Amino acid sequence: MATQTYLPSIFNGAFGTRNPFADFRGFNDELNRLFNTRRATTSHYPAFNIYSNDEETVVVAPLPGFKAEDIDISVERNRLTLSGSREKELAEGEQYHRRERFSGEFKRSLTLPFAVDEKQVEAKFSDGVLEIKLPRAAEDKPKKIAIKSA
Amino acid sequence: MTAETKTLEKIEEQTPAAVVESKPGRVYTPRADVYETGQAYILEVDLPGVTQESLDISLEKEVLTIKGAREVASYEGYKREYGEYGVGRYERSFSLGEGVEHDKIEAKLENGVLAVTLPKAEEAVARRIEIKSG
Repeated sequence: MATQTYLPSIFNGAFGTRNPFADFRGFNDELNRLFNTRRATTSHYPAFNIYSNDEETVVVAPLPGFKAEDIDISVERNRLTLSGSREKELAEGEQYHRRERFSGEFKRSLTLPFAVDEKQVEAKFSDGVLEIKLPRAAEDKPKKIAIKSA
Repeated sequence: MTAETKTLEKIEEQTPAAVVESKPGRVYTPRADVYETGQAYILEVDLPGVTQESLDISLEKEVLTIKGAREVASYEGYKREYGEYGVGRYERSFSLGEGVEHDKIEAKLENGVLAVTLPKAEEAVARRIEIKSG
């Protein structure tokens, strides 16, 4: 049983392994940076890389500069939600010459194509990279059906 | 600092900046903030996944170059379902210009962010001139 059968088309399928919107999003980011409105563009922050096997899905997200306690992770059935905030206030007399890094609040959700065993979810945060392991709930796994020979 | 601002052009986020040397992997330009305090310029660079051992900072003439390799976690037995960012090496150079005390540059890597403190040279620090009333 190939894994793509239980993943939605946005992960794979019609467009192959490459997300056709990735380039557009990059362009959008670039525009936002030009017009300095990046605070409004939190819907796709942080970026996700997603890996799966039959047992679980792993979501990896770079969140440089965050501390573990700044990040909230919640899982409800098949929905993962990440949120957090990081704000840097400069002292009086200090000023920015360049600002490219993310600051402010973010919230991003991901709907998985299977129910997650919420109690077994594991999250690890090291060197500014968050890794969340989402095991597939046992009752949601495909069942093997034995064929009786007559 | 104006010199520095000039040399930092736009970032190609999803596409690799360049493929250099013969090492495998792609090279990305990391995002950076620069701010100025009374005594120094502070440079903060996003380097998620980079550890101290894989980070290299060098200063040649007026150019500060930051290179970092990100440890690539291998998800063996996993299928890559979806990808929004590339994993490879980071590289970016900053032109410091004059007015930075080269011998007193300090760097600290924490939670995937490199903070470089570039102290202003004596003559660049604005001095307060007292006006005596007489």
